[in-house]
Order: sequence, then C-alpha cells, then structure tokens
Amino acid sequence: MPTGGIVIVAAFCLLASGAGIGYIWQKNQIHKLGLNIRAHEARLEQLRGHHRMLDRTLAMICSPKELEERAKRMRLEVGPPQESQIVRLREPVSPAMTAGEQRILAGRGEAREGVN
Amino acid sequence: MEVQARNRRWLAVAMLLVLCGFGGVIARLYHLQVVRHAELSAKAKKYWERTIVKASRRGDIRDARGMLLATSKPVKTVCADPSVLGTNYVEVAVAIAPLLEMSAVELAEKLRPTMITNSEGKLVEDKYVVLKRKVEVERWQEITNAMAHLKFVPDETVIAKKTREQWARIRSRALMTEADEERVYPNGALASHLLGFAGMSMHETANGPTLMTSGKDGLELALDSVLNGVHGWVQTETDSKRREVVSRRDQNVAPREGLDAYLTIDAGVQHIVETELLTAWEKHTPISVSAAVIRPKTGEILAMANLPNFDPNRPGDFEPEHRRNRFITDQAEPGSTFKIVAISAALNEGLVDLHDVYHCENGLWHFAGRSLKDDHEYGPLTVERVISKSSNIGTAKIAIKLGPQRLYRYMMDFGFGARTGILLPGEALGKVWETEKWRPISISRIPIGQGVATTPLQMLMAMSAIANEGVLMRPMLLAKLVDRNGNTVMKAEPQPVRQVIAPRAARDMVQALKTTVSTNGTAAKAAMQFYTVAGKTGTAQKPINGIYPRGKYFSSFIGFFPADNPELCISVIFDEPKRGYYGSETGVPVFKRIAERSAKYLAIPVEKPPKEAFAMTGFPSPR
Repeated sequence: MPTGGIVIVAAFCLLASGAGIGYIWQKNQIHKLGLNIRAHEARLEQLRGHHRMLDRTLAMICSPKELEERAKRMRLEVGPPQESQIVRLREPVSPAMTAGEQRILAGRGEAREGVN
Repeated sequence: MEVQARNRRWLAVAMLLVLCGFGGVIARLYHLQVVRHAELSAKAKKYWERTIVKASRRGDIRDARGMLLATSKPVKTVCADPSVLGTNYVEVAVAIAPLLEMSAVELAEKLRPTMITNSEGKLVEDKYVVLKRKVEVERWQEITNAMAHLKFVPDETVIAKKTREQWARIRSRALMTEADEERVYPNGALASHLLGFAGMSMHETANGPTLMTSGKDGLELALDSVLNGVHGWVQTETDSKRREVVSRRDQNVAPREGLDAYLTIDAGVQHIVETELLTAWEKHTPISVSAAVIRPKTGEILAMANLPNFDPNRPGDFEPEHRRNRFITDQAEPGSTFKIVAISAALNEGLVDLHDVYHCENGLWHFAGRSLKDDHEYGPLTVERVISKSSNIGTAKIAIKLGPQRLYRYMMDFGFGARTGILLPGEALGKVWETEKWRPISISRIPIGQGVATTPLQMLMAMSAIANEGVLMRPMLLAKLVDRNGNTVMKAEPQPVRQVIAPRAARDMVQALKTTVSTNGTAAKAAMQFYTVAGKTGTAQKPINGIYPRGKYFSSFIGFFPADNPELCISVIFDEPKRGYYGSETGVPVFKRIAERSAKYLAIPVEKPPKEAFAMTGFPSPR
C-alpha cells in the first residue's frame, strides 16, 4: 500500500475515533449538567421551603396573641400605655396661617401625639 | 473427488442452516420491530417515561400590615406498591408504623398485596395504596432512612442472592411519595370566621384528576380561584433506579403560583375585638356574641369576630355551629337599632326636624287595636330625645307620618333585604316584607325593629352610611392581590353603593345619635374621654316558634367615633346574654373597651385633648 493511502486510512481512523470520543465526552458533559441541574433544583426547593418555614415561624412569633402571652409569661409588665402615661402636645399656630392651614397643622399634630 | 463433493454438500447444508438461522432472527426482528412496534414501544415507554406534576403553591392571606394569617407548607402523601412487598409486608409495617403514627395492624392491612379489577375489567395486582397524607418532609426523611436500614434477617449474607435482590427492591421501591401541601394558620383561631378553612378536593388538570387544596369556607373559599395556582409538569425519562435523567426532559412547564391576598383586616384590632368578646362571653355567658369594626368612610372591615369560634388548623374538631360566621349568616329582628332608619328617612324627607315634639303617651299607646309600650312613661319628647331615650311610641308616630311606601323605600335603600356584597360565602339576605303584605299594625312595629329581619352586618353598614354623610358603602375585605414577585395585580378601591339620605339629614341624625351617648341617653357608658361618640342601643326579644319567651333577647350597640369625623364604626351583638340583657348593659361596655383600645392602637387623632397637657406646654388649650 502506498504511503499516501496509509496516511489517509490513519487520518480517517483518527477522525472516526476522535468523533466517537468527542460524542461520549459530550454525552458525559450533558449527563453531568443534568445532575447539576437536578441538584440545584433540589437546593432551590429546599431553600424556598426553609424560607417559608421561617416566614411561618416569624408570623407565629409576631402574632398579637403570642406577644401578649409572652409578655405575661416573662412578666415584662408591658401593655398599652395608660392615659396618665400619655402627654399630648399641640404645635403653636402662627397667626399668619390661614384657617385651613391651621386645621391641617392641628390634625397633623394630633396624629403625631396619638402614636404610642 | 467423492470426498470433495461430500464436503461441498455438507458445506451447503451448513450454509443453509446458517441462512435459516439468520432468516429466523431477521423474521423475529421484523416481528418485534415492525409488526409489534407500537405495542412494544408503548410498553417500554411505560417503564422509563414519567410525567412529574409540579404542584403550584396556594397563595398566602395577610392582613393590612402584611402579617401572615394563612399560608401553606409542603408535606408528603406517603404511598406504597404492595406488589413489591410480597410476604414481607408485616416487617415493613412494623418498621414504619411508629413513624407514620399509625397502628402496625392497620398499616399491615394496607400493605398486604391484593388483587383489584382494573378499568379494562382484568384482575391485576394493586400497585398503589395511600398510606398517609400530610406527612411532614422531615418525617418522610426518617421513613426513607428506616427503609434503607430495614433488616429482614440478622445476617443477610447467608441468604440466597435472589431473595437479597428482592429485599433491596423493597427498600428502594416499596414506598414513594407525592408532593402535597397543608394549610397553616399561624395565629390559630384569630379571624377564623373570616379566613374560613381549606381542605382537599379533586380537580381536573391537564394531567388528569389531581388532588388539590381548595377553600371550604370563608375567604379561603371566596378567593379560591386566585389563591390556587395552576400545576405545572415535567415530561421526562427515568433510569433503572427511578431517578430522573434531566438531559432527557421533554416538556418542562413551570407551575403558576397562587396570588397572595392582602386583607383590610388589621390583626391588632382583630385581637382587641376577640379578647374583649372573650371577656364579655365569660361575664354574660350568651349563646353567641359577635362584633365588627369598620371604617365608615371606605367600608374597610378592620375586624370581625364571633364567639364561639374555631381553630382553622383543625376545623373538624369543632361543631358546625362554631364555624358559622354569625355576623353575616344570622338574621333576626334588630330591635331599637333599626329606629335610625325611620327617623333618618323622616329627617331626609323634611317631615320632621330634631326639635319637633311628639307626645309619647306616658308609655302606653294603642294603635290598630294593639298596645305599644315604652320602657318609661315619657310625655312630650323632641325627635332628638326620641332617639336618645329610644322611645318606641315616638318612633312609631314619626314612621306613621312617613308612611309605609317611603319607609319601605328607605329600608331598601339602606340595604336591608339584600346582600351587602361582602366577599364571604353564606351571607343572608334578611327579610323585608313588601308593603302589600303589611298589616295595619306593621307601620308601628317595623320602625322599631320588629317584623323585619336583618343581619348584624346590614345594621352596621346602615349605621356607617349615616356616619358617612348618608353614603352607603360596600363592605371591603380584600385590599389587594399580589403575585410571587411582589407586583400588585389588583387593588381594591372603596365602592359607594348609593346616597341614601342627604348629608344634612345624616348630620342631623348624627347629632341625635350623639345624645344617646349623653348622660340622659341609653348609652351613657359608651362615652369616651377623648372622642365624641354617637350610637344606638338595641334590645330585641327573640322569637322562638312564633312566640316571644321572657328572658330571651338579642342585645346590641352600634356606635361610631369621632362622631363628626368618624374613623371607626363598631357593632357588638349578644344572643341571649345572662346577667343583664339590655344593649346598654351588654353591648355598650364592650363597645367602649374595643373603641378605646383600637383608638390607641390605630393612633386616631384625639378630639378632646386633656387640658393639663396644654398647661404643660404653655399654649392655650382649645375650647
């Protein structure tokens, strides 16, 4: 067989085996990627579940009934402020203000006082 | 030559045999690959192809401040394939029964291999049984651990390979799960009658009938279509160990999550109402007590509660009576609170004004052959005093001046005899008879709340209309709908229904209702330190089988404050209270405590600041 023929056959064999190996490598990569996707999906679902669980726990901790019971249990002596504990202030009204402005200011002042 | 010929013959025979062999193989291949292609490929697909349903998450329900009122948590439905177990079902039952919190006998009965008739009428092995629903994810992990370490004999190495393989199959394949979710109410019984509860029901989906969480009562039912999302699915292939081969995924449709509902309810106000109702319940031991708090200007409901109530986390543990939202489902004669209708109608028509005087016949008046009584022997009373003293005779005389047609029209305009449109199932209509069916006596009885049936919500909305300058609002429970990414999909706006009476008539009526809470009125104890209160008491006899037995009353109070710029309207109603039955003895104190605590909690601007506070600042105090 002439040398040229041997080279052609060798090149063909190399190409065929290279293509085969490349195909298997690619399949392997796809499989690994699939496993990665599955792992990430599971992790995402786990994190979402954990987030929801924390949300539920927070809601239970912050529920008005739970807060009241805990304050009683821990004897924190906390509760709504008594009238004697509230000092209500009104901002001074400038004489130059219109009646409407005075009403608005009075309303705003009271709203701020009311927060307790 | 002869030998050569013989060899050639043998060779020919051998070749023929080989060719026949190949022919047989080709024929078999043709039969399998061409003739039985459809049948066999379908059978093969059944082994490796799977459609995994991706459950959508039901939306949360939150209050106006974003506090979680109802949510869902992922759980598992544990299933088994009894055909894999063979005679080993008892060992498996004993191993997992404590983890599933079931008796081993009950579990063994479920796991025992049985034969069933399939849809084609053939007797086949049962390959699917549900062992338990709503199993926590952590508990399922414990079960898989227990199954992985399950030992059928102390030393398995001495057992035949075939048996060992069967045991391995049992460990890996006998049990499986399906994704499920459980509805959780973190605040327990708080707002239970508004939230309702959810349960499981079969829904038709793209992948056939699927068991899904759905609302059964309350807002869970009313908002079912928006809370429920749409399931997604993945069409994929699995390997020999039933693990998904992600690279072979065909369809991957993500589930559409349900929307989160934000309510107008404020959990803080709701808690105030519920604790005050509980105190009143212990004091008066009624059949039931209900209350609601609403913003009259918008119709936003801040709280609604009834006792007895229930825990929506386990609704089955409570009687149906406990689960009923009496504030919207119960209709009864409203009693004196209904007087606001006839008097505000007469004021609106210009037939009377607050200073007109009516003689109240010293407490006893005969009309249409029947006597009508007042609690006290009142003489002449102004219209304003008719309200503050809650005179039946005075109200009847005003209504007679108004006439049946106009009274009926105003009753309808105030929303009686029709649903308010609240976003809750089971709302009652109430009952308002057409004037053709009225008897002569009706015009003296209906205006004082007899011979008419209303729901507590209808009365609350009517009182709110008076507080809101005569505009009747539609009650609001849903504030907005929000998607998973926090985008507002729908925002509810206040909806005026109609102008029932003119603002001037409404202001006159408010003026009259303020006198009810004066020292001379029936609700003096409702007066608040920093706000002017307006309201009306009601005490109605309870009809039982057509008669009014003594000692059985509905007593109520509906009031609002600040009277001239109302922020809250509150209704309290008792069914058969003991130790006091007048609205002034039962509803009024509860109203006052709810009003004072809510005003502080919501920081409602005060109307009447204490003088000493101004003395401290050096500024002149307002008059």
